[in-house]
Amino acid sequence: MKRKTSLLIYYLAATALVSSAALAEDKPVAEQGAAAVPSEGQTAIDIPPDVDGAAQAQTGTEDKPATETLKAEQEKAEETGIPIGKSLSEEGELIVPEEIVSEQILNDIELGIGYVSDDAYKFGRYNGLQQKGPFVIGDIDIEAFYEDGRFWSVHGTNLGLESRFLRLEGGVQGSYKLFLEYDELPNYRDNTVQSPFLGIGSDNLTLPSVFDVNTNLDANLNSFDLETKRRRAKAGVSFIPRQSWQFDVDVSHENKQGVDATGATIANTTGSSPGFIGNLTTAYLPEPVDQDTDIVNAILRYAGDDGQVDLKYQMSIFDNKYNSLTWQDPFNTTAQGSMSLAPDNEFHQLSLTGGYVLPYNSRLTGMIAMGRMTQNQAYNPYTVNSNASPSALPQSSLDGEVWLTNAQLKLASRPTNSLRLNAELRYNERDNKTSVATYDYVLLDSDSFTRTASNRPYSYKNNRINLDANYRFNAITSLRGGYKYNEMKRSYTDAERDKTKEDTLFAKWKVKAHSTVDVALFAEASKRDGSDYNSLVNENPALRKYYLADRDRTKVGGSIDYMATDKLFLTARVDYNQDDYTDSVIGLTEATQPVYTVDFSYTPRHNITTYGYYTYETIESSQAGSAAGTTTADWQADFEDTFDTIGIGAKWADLGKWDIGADIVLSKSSGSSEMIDLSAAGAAGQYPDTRTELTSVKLWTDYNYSKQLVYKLGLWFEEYSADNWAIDGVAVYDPLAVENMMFLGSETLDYNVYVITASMSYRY
Amino acid sequence: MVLLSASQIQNAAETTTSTEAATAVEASAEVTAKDEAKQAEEKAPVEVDPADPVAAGEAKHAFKEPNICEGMAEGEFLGPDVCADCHQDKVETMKVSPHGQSADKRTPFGKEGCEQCHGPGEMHFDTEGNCIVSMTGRFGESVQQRNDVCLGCHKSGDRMHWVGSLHESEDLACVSCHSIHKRNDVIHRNSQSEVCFTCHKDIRADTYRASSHPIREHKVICSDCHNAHGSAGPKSLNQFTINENCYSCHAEKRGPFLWEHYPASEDCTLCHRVHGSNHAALLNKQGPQLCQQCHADIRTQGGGRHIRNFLDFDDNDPGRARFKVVSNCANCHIKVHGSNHPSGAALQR
Repeated sequence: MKRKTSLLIYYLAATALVSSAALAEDKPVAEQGAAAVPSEGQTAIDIPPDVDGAAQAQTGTEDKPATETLKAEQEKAEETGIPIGKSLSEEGELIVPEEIVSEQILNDIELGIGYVSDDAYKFGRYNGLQQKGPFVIGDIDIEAFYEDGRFWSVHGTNLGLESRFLRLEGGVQGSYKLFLEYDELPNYRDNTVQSPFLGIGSDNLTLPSVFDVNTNLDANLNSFDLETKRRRAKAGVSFIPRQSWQFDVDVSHENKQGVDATGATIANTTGSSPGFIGNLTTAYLPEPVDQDTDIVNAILRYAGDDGQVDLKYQMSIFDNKYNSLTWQDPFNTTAQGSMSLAPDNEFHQLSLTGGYVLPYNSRLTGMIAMGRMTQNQAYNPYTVNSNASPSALPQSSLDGEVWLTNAQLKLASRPTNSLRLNAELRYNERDNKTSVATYDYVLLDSDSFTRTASNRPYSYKNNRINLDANYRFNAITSLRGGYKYNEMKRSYTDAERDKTKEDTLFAKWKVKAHSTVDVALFAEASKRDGSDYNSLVNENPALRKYYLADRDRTKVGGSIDYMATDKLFLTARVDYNQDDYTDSVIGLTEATQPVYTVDFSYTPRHNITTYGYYTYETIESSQAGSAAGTTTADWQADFEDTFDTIGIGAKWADLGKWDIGADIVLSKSSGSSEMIDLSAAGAAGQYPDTRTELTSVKLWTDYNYSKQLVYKLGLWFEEYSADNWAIDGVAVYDPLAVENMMFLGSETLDYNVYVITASMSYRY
Repeated sequence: MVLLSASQIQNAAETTTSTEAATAVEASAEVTAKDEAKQAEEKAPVEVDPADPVAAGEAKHAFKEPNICEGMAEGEFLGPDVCADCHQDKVETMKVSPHGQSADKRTPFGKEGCEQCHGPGEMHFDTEGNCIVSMTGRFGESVQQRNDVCLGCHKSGDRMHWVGSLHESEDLACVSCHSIHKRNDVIHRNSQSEVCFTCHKDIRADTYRASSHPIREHKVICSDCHNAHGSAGPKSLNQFTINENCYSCHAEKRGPFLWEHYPASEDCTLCHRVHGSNHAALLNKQGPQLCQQCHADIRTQGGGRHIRNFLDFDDNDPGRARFKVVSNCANCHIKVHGSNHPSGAALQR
C-alpha cells in the first residue's frame, strides 16, 4: 500500500506539475495504434552521475518523517476517489482512470453568445467589448498528429470579437512546418471627445465656414471616437533539411488604422521678436492613423552537440500613409498650421549567435549583431504660411542613418555541483551617422521670424560587465553574489555629460530554514558617477538630469516560501528600492519604491483549488526646482503613488457534473503630491489627488453534460472609477480656465459593466 | 474564452500551486524516495495485489523497488510499450505531443521513447542501485540534472542563452514552467501570463493599473517582449536593447528623427513604466513635473511665454493652466519621441 500510494501521489503531483495533457482515444495517432519503436544505434542522453549526492544536497529533507508524507499521500489518494480497484480490465490490462482521461482533452470548439450591459470604451479598450449589446463567442482548439509525423492545428480565440486571433499550423514534424496567423487588436481610447473640425480621418482638417471659437463653438462641436485598430497577418515556414539544421522564416504585415489625438500649436499673430512668439495657440486635433508595418525574420539554425549557431536577419519597414497634418487655426481661421506625422522608416539587422560547450562543464555563448535604421521621408515645408521667409531647406529629406552594433560574450561554468560562475561582457552602440545641417526654421506657423538650428545626431556606446558566482554550501544554504559595471558614453552636441559609469555589488542568500520553509534575502548597492557635468547654456546650472546624474541606488528584498501542509502554500515577499541623487540640487533628488506581496494557494481537496494574493506598492519621489532661476531650490514637490491589488479565486471541479469557479480582483491606486514653496516657507496650492479603483468579478460554471459536451455560463462584472484632475472638468474651450487652448473634452472613463456569456463547448 | 479567468486556466491554476511549491513538493517526493530506497536495501518481497495496476506492472516485469539513482548511462532500452504496461496514461499522452512523434528523429519517441529522457528501463526493474530519472525531482534529481536532460536537445535557438540566464540563476527547472508531456504547454497565449505571474506577482498587479499594455486581455503576452530562457539583451528581452524591443510594435517611434529627444532615443523606460502605471500613457509620473525633472529653466529656451514653475495648482492663471492640464508640456511639445519637421526643433511639429 505504501508503494501504491506513493506512486499515486507521484502521479497526481506529476499531473499538476507536468501535465493535464491530451489523451483522446480517437486521435489519429491512437487510431493507428502507433507505438514508438526504438531506433537502432541511438544512445541515451548522458545523464550526469552523482544523482544521489545531488539529491541529498538539494533536498535536505532528512528531518521530515516519512510517515508524515505517507499519511498525506494516503489522505490524498482517498480524496481523489480514483477507482484503483477498477483500473484493470478483466484481462488484467491497465485502464487509465476515467477521471484522469476526462481532463486530457486535446480538441475543443466553443460557440456561444454573450451580452455586454453598457457602452464602455475603457472596459473594452483592448478586448472588443466596448459596445452594449450581444456578441458571438467563438473559440477553437483543434490538433491532430499522425504516425508519419504529419500534424495540423487550428487555434482561435475571441473569433466573434475585434480582438480575434486565429492560427493555422501544419506540416510534418521534423521536416517542415507552415503557419498562418491573423490577429486583431483594437484600441478604443475615448468616446467622449468632441471637435469642430471637419475632415476627421484625413490629413487636412478644416473648420465650418462660419466659425468663431468664442461665439459658436458649441454649435459646431461634433462627437467622434478616438480608436485605432491593428490588423496583422503573419505567415511562416520552418524547414528542417537535416536533423541539425533548421531554417525559419516568417513574414508579417500589420495595418494600424483609425483616429488618434494630437496637440497642434500655432502662433496666431506674428511674433514681435525672434525670442517671443505672439499669442501661441493650441488645438487638439483628430489625427489620422493609417500605418503599415512589414516585418521579416529569417533564421538559419545549426544545433550540434557541442556547438550551436543562429544566423538571423530582421527587417522592419514602417510606412505611414499620412506624413503630415494641416489644420485651420480655430483661433484665427485665416491661418493654417502644419505638422509632421511619423516618417516612414526602415530597420535591417543581421545577427550571429553561437554557443559552444567547453571543458569543466562550461559553456560559451556569444552574439554579434549589426543593425541599420534609416529614414528618408520628404520634409514638409518650413511653414505653410507666408509671414516668414526662410531660406531654402538645406536638403529635401533627412537621409537619417543610425547603425546599431550589439555584441555579447558570456562564459558560464559549473566546475562542481556546488559552484556556478558566470561572466558576461555586453556592448551596445547606437551610432547616428546622420549628417548635420543648419535649418532656417519657423518655430510655428504664422510666426514671422526665422531661427536657425542644427540637428544634433545622438550616439552612445554602452559597455556592461556582469560577473556572478553562486555557491551552495550544503543542502541548506547557498550564496550568490556578483559585480556589475555599466558604462555609458554619450556623444551629441552640447552633451551635458559624456560618460556615466555605474558599479553594482549584489548578494543573495538562500536558506532552507526548515524542510517546508525557504527563505531568500537579497541586497544590491550601486553607485553611479561620471565625467564632469556641463550644464547647458540655457539651463539651470544646478540641474542634474536624472538619467545622467550621480546616483546611489540601494535594493534590498526578501522572500519566504512556506509549505504549511501539502495543501496550503504561503509566500511573502518584500522589495525595497531607493535612489539617492547625491549631486542634484535641482531635478529629481530622491526616489523610493517598496513593494510587498503575500499570496497563498490552498487545495483543500483534489478538486478544489483556491488562491489569493495581495500586493502593495508605493512609488515615492522628490524633486526640486528654482522659479527664480538660481542654483538654490525654491520649490520642492514630493509625490507618492500607492497601489493596492487584491486577488482571490477558487475553482471547484467535479461537483456532480458541474465545475464552478470565481475570480475577484480589487485594484486601487492613488496619487498624491505635496508642493512646497521653499521661498515662502510654506505650502503652495496643492494639486488634487488622482485616484483609480477597479473591481472585477468573474463567476463561471461548466455543466459537463458528457465527456464531449460542456455547457458554460459566465458572469463578468467590472466597475472602474477614477479621478484625474488633468482631464476632469477641462472644457473643450474655456479661456478663463485655460488660455488659448482647445481640447477634445475628454472625460475620465468610469464604467460599470456586466457581461453575461452562455456557450457550448464540444471536446473530443 | 472571453470570460477567461485565472481559475479557468487549468494549467495555470495548477502551476500556481506547483511552481513556487516545486521545491517543497519535490522535497516531499524526495522524502518518499529516500524511504523507498531504504526499503530497497531491505529487499522486502513484493506483494502483488491483482487490483493494483502498479503492483501488476511490477509483477509482470519483476519490478523490485525504486532506488536512488546512481547513474543511468548503461542499461537496456525496453521501449515505450513496456513503459505503458504501468504508465499507459503517460505514454498515450506523449503520442499526441510533439515529444511523442516517432517520425521526427529529433524527439524522444524518435529515439528511445520514454527512456530517452527517463533513462534505460532495464534499470527500473532488475538492477539494484538505479532508477528512472524523474523530471519532477522525485528521486532527488537536482534541478541542474533534470534541466540537463532537456538541454541535451534544447540548447539551441531560443534556449541558447539559458545557462547563466536570470531564471537559471534562480534554480528554475524547465518543468517549473513547462509541461513536457503536453502539447500546448506554456506557449498558449491565453495561459502564459498566469504561469509567469506565479512568481512575478508585482507584474500581475501592474496589469490592473489604469494604463497598461493589453496583458490582461492576452493580446500582449510576456514572451512577446521577454525570452524566459535568457537573451543577449537586458531583462531577458527578445531584442538586444530596450528600445529595439519597443520598436518591434511601435515602429513609428523608431525614426531616426531630424530632431531627437535624447532620452527617448536612448531608453523608453526613462519615462515609461512599461507594465502599468496610474498615469496616462504608462508614464512614470504626472506632468508637468515629469518634464521638469530634466527641464528646470524653460523660460530662456522657449521664449517669454514660458514660466519656471507650476507649483500652485490654485493660482487661477489660465496661462499657467495650459502647462498643467491634459498633456501638460506635451500639449504643445507633442513630438516628445522626436520630430521630423524641418521647423520641429522644439518638438512641437
